[in-house]
Amino acid sequence: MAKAKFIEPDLDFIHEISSAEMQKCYQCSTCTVVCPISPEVNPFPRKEMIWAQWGLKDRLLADPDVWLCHNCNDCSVNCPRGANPGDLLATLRNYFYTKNAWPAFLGKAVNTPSMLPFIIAIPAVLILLLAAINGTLTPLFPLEDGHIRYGAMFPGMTLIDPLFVSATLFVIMSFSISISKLWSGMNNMTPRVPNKGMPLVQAIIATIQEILTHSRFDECGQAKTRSSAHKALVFSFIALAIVTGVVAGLEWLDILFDINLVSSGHHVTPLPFLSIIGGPLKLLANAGALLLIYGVYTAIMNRKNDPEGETFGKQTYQDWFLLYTILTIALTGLGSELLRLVNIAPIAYSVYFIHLIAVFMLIAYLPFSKFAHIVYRTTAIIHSKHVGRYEMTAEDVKGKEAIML
Amino acid sequence: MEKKIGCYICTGCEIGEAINAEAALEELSAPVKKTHEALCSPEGLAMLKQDMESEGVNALCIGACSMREKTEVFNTFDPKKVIVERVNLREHVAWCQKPGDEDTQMMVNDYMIMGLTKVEKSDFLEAYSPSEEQPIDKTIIVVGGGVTGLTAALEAAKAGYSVVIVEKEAELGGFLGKMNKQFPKRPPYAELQDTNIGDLIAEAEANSNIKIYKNAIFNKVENGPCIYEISLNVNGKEVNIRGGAFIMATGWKPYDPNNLGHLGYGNCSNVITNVMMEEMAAKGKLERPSDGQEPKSVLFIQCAGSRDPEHLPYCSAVCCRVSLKQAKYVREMIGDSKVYILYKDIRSPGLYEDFYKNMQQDEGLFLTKGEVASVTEDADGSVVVEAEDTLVGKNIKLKADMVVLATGMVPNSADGEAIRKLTDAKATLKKEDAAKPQIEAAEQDLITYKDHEGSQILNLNYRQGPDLPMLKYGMPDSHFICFPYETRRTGIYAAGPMRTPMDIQDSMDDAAGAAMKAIQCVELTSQGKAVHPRAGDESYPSFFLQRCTQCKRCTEECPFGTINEDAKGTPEIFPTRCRRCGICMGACPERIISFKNYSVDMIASEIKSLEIPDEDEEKPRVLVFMCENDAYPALDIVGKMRLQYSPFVRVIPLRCLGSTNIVWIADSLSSGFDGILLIGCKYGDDYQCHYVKGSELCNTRLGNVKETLDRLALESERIRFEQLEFSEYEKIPKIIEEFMETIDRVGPNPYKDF
Repeated sequence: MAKAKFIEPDLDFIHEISSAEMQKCYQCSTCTVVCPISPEVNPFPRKEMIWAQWGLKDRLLADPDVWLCHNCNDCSVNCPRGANPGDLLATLRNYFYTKNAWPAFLGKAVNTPSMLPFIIAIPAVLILLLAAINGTLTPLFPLEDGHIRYGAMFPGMTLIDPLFVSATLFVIMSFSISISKLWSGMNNMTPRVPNKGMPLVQAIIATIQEILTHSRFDECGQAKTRSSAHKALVFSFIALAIVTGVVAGLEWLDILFDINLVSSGHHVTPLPFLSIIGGPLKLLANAGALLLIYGVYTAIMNRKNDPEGETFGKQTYQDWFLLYTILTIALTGLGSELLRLVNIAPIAYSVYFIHLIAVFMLIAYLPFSKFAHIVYRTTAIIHSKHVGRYEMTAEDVKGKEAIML
Repeated sequence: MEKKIGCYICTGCEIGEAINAEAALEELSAPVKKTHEALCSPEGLAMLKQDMESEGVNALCIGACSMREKTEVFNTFDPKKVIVERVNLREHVAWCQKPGDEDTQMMVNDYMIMGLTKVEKSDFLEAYSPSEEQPIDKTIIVVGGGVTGLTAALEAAKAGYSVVIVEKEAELGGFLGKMNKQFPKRPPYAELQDTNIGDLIAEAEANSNIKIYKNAIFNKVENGPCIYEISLNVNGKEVNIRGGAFIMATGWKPYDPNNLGHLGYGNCSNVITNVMMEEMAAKGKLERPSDGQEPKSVLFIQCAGSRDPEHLPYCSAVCCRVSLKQAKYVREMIGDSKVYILYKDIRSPGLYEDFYKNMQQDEGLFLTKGEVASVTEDADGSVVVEAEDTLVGKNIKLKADMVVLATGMVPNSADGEAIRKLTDAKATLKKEDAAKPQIEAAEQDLITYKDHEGSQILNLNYRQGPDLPMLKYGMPDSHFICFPYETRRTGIYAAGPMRTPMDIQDSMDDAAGAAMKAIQCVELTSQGKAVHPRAGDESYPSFFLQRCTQCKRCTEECPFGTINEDAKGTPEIFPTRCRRCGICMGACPERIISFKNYSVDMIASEIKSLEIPDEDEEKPRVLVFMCENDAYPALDIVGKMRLQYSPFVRVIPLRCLGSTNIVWIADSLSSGFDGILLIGCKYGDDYQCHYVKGSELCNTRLGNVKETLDRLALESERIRFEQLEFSEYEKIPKIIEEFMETIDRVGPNPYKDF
């Protein structure tokens, strides 16, 4: 018999995550049975429910299953006691964003509604400050040849890029701390079964495939409409990331080597529509923006039409923060383009300014917002494939129960 | 009184179309013979009454529907003045046989002849009147003054009966008196409630119908219902009272925790029981025994010794809710405390589920299923509990300042039969002429039953033991599966946790039910009538003692301890203890026990009254003895469902198969019956016999007969015993069919033509 572990409930932790619904769980395990994506060995979310009731914080923060859940809500819909296991897992993920990412104060700020003005103010002040340093912050909005060019006020090389590159570096640093902690925790909870798990590289490739095809997400019962919205968002983000990357590359090519591949002028943006590279890029950007709007609109409406969270789970601040940030990005992005074309400078520059703030919030606050799931869930899926989580049998884990449970 | 018999056949309900009533009546020799198209109608009844008045008919043989039907018409005659015998021509003939067939008509003829024979052999009843011996006393004696006893006493007192409460302790209140609070009994099942035992005690003490003896035990209880003579020891002084019926409300005691060393009791200073916890809470302060500190964490181990074949094999029904309640004590009395409950299952039946749900909302309560692997003491006095297969994990360890063992309920009862074995063993050892095997058996009994020494509560002066018999777990068997409160001693009703584990509310409900049974008992008994299940029956057995051989079979086999023995072993009957089942009548090898309307000779005459067709007619005959309680009504259903079966069977209903006297088997075979089928209630652990062991006794007696048959080279297959419950009516045609095939195979009874 494996050695028994001491167990000590953490009352503070319980207090933070507890809900009246969660306390109703009486461990019938209907949730694990109906969950379409729960593995065979030590399935979720039954065990997470009692760990939460018992306040077993260390286990839950190292539990990969919290992230394997795609929040389809089949468990909550079928729960005979109304204990809403789906909401508990979402709460645990929110707890992770709020409490477990470095630095902790940002986690608290991003996830506290009253601190929203503060976290909007950070990018706003930073951008204005950088513009002031650049000397582009003028009371009259700059026009070039009578046209709006956003780069004139928010220059790429000296404003956008330093700001976003440093934000990205900060995010990478933050994640590297939390991911390494999570990875070793997950290894403790679910040790690798060598003959069942994939090598790491293969696991990563398989994970990317799974994410792009939404193959696991599509198994979720309640989440059919959520999956299509999510697909639209994933592909629009990919499209927009490609556009952003290519444009940045083109700009740096222009700046460093004075090679402008898209126009005869000095600037890459706005992209001229009638050019071999600019045309397809612009098409891709607009298609991405439209797809983004469709995706985020569908996601918002799904939740709006389910105010009690009966189908999609209880709504949280974290959900709305992410959805409205994305919506803002999509609307101000497309709005900036249209306003530039109709050439109403004061409004156009203002909208673009908001666009920059929203994009900053999405990127720089990534470890603290629900958006962080793209990193944590991806990591957990890679881990599950690497250790053979879905392939292992009771025989494989025999004798390790005391470690795993 | 001179008997004048009238035979009647009702031709209603399709009977007239199926058979020739006039032809059947022609076969009978009786002064009055009539048919009527609806005997149960006012006109039919008027005709019967007219015959009784003008012709002087006072014995009716009525061929109509089942004796279980139309009782409101045919059971209205006073059995002391009119004999009524019902012959079932509807359910048992017209509705299950081919109409107009020759065999169907033979069946009717036979049944009417049997009915007439029975009437000829029957006598008018003379109700037993206990008052001839002694004055009737309807006082209800309540044994135990806890919540069950007090409630029962108040219920009976409010119904106008005088009640005596006999309490062993110096104070009333029982276990409830020691308790702090009770778990919620009302919606929303959230807050604990006061026990209110004080109010109950005050109400009982103030009731003028209730007399209370405290510090009182029973010296001796003699005689039977309504004429009990009771000697009490009250504070060391003898007090003699009389009583009508008993309500046993002796309650429970906790399972002995000294047997629970494996759960830490006795080995760890801070392992206590739920009873100790309750007493501590009642004092208003929770402290752990080792150092008097407030326990910041308390762990409850459920089913401590319960549902465990080594200890109490049963569930005590309340411990889960008690632990939830005590968890609330801890959480309310000690700030920031943690309470763990390790359970097998949480059993909070009915709406008490809401109490469990409410307690689940407490963030400081931690529940998990699990098996305790070890309980050890830590250096600081706290207790480490290791558990396996929990919901939290495969193997876990928990540390708690104090552990509470949720021990179960053991009935406060005495096993009358075990005590009797002890007494008998002692008597055997005193005898000078006892044989060696007897002495060895007696010595063995002394060891086996030594724990029962002096355990009796009632001190009944009954041959079968001084207290109620037990079946399982030390609980007095509620001897009819479907009837709570009943025990195997007439007039003594069990209520509350001494009967089966239960909570306060159930005990109070139980008390009311038992009070009702006790009232029914004194009322019926005082009128000379039987109590349940033959409630209202005015017949009773009489013993022709001149021919008694003192074989003691009747005194041994009576399931109700009705019969005592004198020094020589001659039976002494106490009719108010009798249930009128006739088991003694079946047991008696001398056939000296008879009822006025039910006797060995009566059934034997019925058997002999039939003309059995010759072998070459190829009309076999099978006699079916059927228990009146399950098998007979099941055969009625067969008729109602219009299921068909062989016309060669002849059914005789019996009060209980236990009343089957073996002589009937011989009579049947010598009369030419080819086979005998006996259908009685299920026996064994989950017996359904209305008289506890009647069907089983019958089967045992048949075993002996079968051996004899084999010796005489007469196929023992001719006799078959079947167990049947009411709901299995559809099996009856199949049972009959199979038995007819067997009879076909073994061939006709060789005695047929003698």
